[in-house]
Parts: sequence; C-alpha cells; structure tokens
Amino acid sequence: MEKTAVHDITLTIQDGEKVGIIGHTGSGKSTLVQHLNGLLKPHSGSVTVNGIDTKSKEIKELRKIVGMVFQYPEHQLFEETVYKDIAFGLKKQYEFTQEEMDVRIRAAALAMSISDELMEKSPFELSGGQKRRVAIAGVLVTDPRILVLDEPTAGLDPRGRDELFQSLEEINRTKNTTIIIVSHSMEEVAGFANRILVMNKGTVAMDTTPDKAFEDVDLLESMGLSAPQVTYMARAISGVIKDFPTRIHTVEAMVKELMKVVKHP
Amino acid sequence: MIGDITLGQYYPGNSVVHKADPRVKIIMSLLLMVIVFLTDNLLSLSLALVFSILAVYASKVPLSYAFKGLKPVMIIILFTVVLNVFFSDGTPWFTIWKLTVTYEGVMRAIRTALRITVLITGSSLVTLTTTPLLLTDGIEKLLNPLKKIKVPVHEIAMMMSIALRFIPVLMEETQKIIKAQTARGADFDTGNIFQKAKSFIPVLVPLFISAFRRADDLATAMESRCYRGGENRTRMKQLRMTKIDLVVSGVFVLGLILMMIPDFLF
Repeated sequence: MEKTAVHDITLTIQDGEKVGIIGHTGSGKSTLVQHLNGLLKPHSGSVTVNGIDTKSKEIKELRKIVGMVFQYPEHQLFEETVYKDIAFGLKKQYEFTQEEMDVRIRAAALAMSISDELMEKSPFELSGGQKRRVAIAGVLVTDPRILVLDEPTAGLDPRGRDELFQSLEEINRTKNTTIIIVSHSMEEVAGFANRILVMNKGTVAMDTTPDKAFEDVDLLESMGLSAPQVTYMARAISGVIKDFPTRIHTVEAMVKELMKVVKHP
Repeated sequence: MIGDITLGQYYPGNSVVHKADPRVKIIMSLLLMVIVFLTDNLLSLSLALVFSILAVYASKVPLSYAFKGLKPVMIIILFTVVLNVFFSDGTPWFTIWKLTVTYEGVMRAIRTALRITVLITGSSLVTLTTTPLLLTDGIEKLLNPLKKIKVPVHEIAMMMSIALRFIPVLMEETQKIIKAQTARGADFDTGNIFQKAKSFIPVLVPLFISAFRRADDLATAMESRCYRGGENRTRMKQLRMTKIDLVVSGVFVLGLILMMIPDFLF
C-alpha cells in the first residue's frame, strides 16, 4: 500500500525568488514542500537549506529559517486570543523580552492587515479569511527567510485573495524573503510567481518562467492542468486578429494588449 | 507512532474469512476469548495461538500486519511476564541476586503472554477482515434481543460505526496538526512528563474543535436526510448466512474442541 511520493528531483531556489508549484492532485506538491523544513526527510538524496542539511540535528535552526503555512488554518489556531496565537511560534523559537515580542507580533499583524480589535478576539470566532491571515501572521512573526504556503487561497474570496498576494508581494520586496506557493490555480501562480515548477507523477516536469510554462497548453493539459483562462482567450483572439500576442497570463496584461488593439484598429 | 494502531482498520481482501458473516466472526472470536481465559493448560493455549495464526493465514492478511496490533500492548505483556517470573510463589528454580525464579512463575508468565497474544490477534483479525459497517451491523443483529429490555441497540450500533468511521479521519488530522505546529516551532519530545503533556495542548485544541465541527456537520447531514433511528429501517446489504459461514464455523468449532481436549486429559 506504499508508494513513492516524489522522486528524481534536483532543484535550487535562490534567495528572494517567488516560486509557484503547480500540479494535479496527488502529484507530490505538498510532499515536496514538506521536505523544505524537515517535516519529511528524503529516503535518498538530500535537501540543504541555507547550508543546513534537513537530516542534521540543527532542525530547530532550520525551522526558524523556513516558515510553513499549511492548507487549513484551523489546524494551527488554538490560543485564547489572536494575539497569543500569533505569539506562539515566537515564544517557542526565540527568547525575546515582552516588548521585543510585542513589536514583532504587531508587525506581523500589520503585514497581514489584522486590526487591533481582532487581536483580542478568539481565533475561533473569525471568518475563514481572517483565520487564514492570522495563521500566516503566526508564521511570519518569526521573520522566516523562506516562506512556504500550501494552497494559501483555498476558501478565500477574490478580495481576500488579492489582499493576500499584495501582502506577500510586499514581504518579498521589502525583506527579500523567498516565497514558495503551492497551488492548483493557474491564475494565481501566473500573476505572482517569477518561476514555476510543474509537478507531475511525483517529479518536476517543468521548471521555468510563467511565459514558457503556459506556452505548451497541450502538455499542461496532459498533466491534468490548464493554462490561465486569459491565455486561452489570447489564443482565440490571435486567430481573428493577426499579430495578437498569445503569451498573456494575467488579466492586467490582457487589458493592456486589448487597449492597444482598440486604440489602433 | 499513531499509525501503529490497527484496531478498527480494515484490510481489504477477498478471502474466506473476509466473506464470512460478521455475526459468525464475532461469536467465534468471543468463544475463543472465553476458552483462552478459562483454560490453564499450556498445550491448549499453544493450540489457540497456532489456530489464530492459521486463521490469519487463511485471511491472507500479512502476519506482520495482524501482529501490529500487539505493539501497543507489548509493554503490558512484558510487565506481566516480569512480575510473574519473579514474584510468584512455588518451587524455586534458580536465584538471581535476591530474586527467586519459580517454576510456576515461568509457566504462569508464558500462559499470560500467550493469552494476551491470542486475545489481541483474534479480535484484530475480526476488525481487519470486516468493514466497519458490516461489523456494527453484525453487533446490532446480535444485540437485538436486548431491545426487549429497552436497550437502545440501534443507537449503540450507530454510535459505534460513527466512531469507527472517524478513527482514521481523526488520526490523519492529528498528524496534519502535529505537522502544522511543528513547523511553528512546537516541540513534543523534550522536557519532563508534565511539559510533554502541556506541549500537546496546541494539538488537542484544534483536534477537539474539528471533531465537534465534524459531529455537528454529520448531525446536520443525517437530519437533512430524515434519519430518525432504527425502526423500520431497511438495509442495502442484508446479512445472510451462506455455505461459507457453515464451513467457517464448522472449522472453528472443531478447532475449539481441539483446544479443550488437553484441558480434559491433563
């Protein structure tokens, strides 16, 4: 009843990269990212993060570097108040004074736009989107160099999703934090990542830029994936309007191109 | 750690043991337990062990898998063995330091170990070869006479099947929560026993909340399908005795008689 979840993967992720990992259900995305902070350890081969082998004994150090947000915020919220819950990781991993902790907690909350009045509420009274923001803040609070998010937008409304990506963008820009996102939504990944890993049957099938990844739609579809909807639209338009670019993956880029056509018919 | 619990885990298969009626399997395993507890004869107990191993073999469940259920009770077995070996009265066999090992003590230890092994193997074989649904169905049918004295048999069976159904779900969830909290820096392995117990709070709280939420959802789902207990309910799969059951119970009864023979002879 056992099977190999991921195999034959060789990859290097640089500081400050925004990596999107996409793949069909069961393609090994979550398994792959859980190797990054030593929750899972490779049976063969090795994973090295900032010079630390995940099989070494410096696992605590490793978990300070790699922050990981799981799919369900309900799995990690447990304290009486949002404030205490965000503080949990900080208390466990570092020895700060009360004031230092407070500064960091407030900063993490601000980054996830959690208001002060929310901070004193019980995490179980919150809405789905709020819970997720608290969960992410609870990981951000330790200021990880690498932030891994597994399906971070599941259950978020479009606005919540946009806000989340803006916050992540901001963290990446100001702190040069490496951000790795696992997702099955092409739109999300296309808009955010500057590098895309396509997982298929437990191994990396593609490791490239969004432009290149969404070029071969047939290949993506054979792996149970698809390109963003606007890419399909661009293709359809290019059949009618000559020279219309087909490498469009975000709504913003589509708008730009369409405006060009409208202005110069 | 958590994955070792085989109780309530079904091992899919197509063997004679799998096909037998759950009622037959339950009664047989109960009979086996009774005999194992009543007999004091070493030969009977060994026969019982051989018999349960044969039964596992017939079910085509890997032996190692069936014995996995023993792991959690290993400590109990070791404990009783040690106690029995060193602290029984009787004819002294040899002495280590201040502890005297008696002949009776050793025999008693072997008997206890055999007894527990057979008990666990026998009962886990039932759950390994019977789907939870069939199992509770069987129990409900067997307890049916108790309805006469107003025992809520159907409700008990329903609660059991729900509990069995949710064991794997909650175990999987526990593992996910442990991972999520570990990633946040939670540490479950260091400190004394109180600190360790305390370190599980971040796991238990989300687990309980999710269990209650699931229970709530389940109740809503059942109510919206107009579920209202046992009266006049029919089943998609009726339990019926077949030839296989006749053969299985025949073989079993023969085995049980065989086990009892040494008891009468010596």
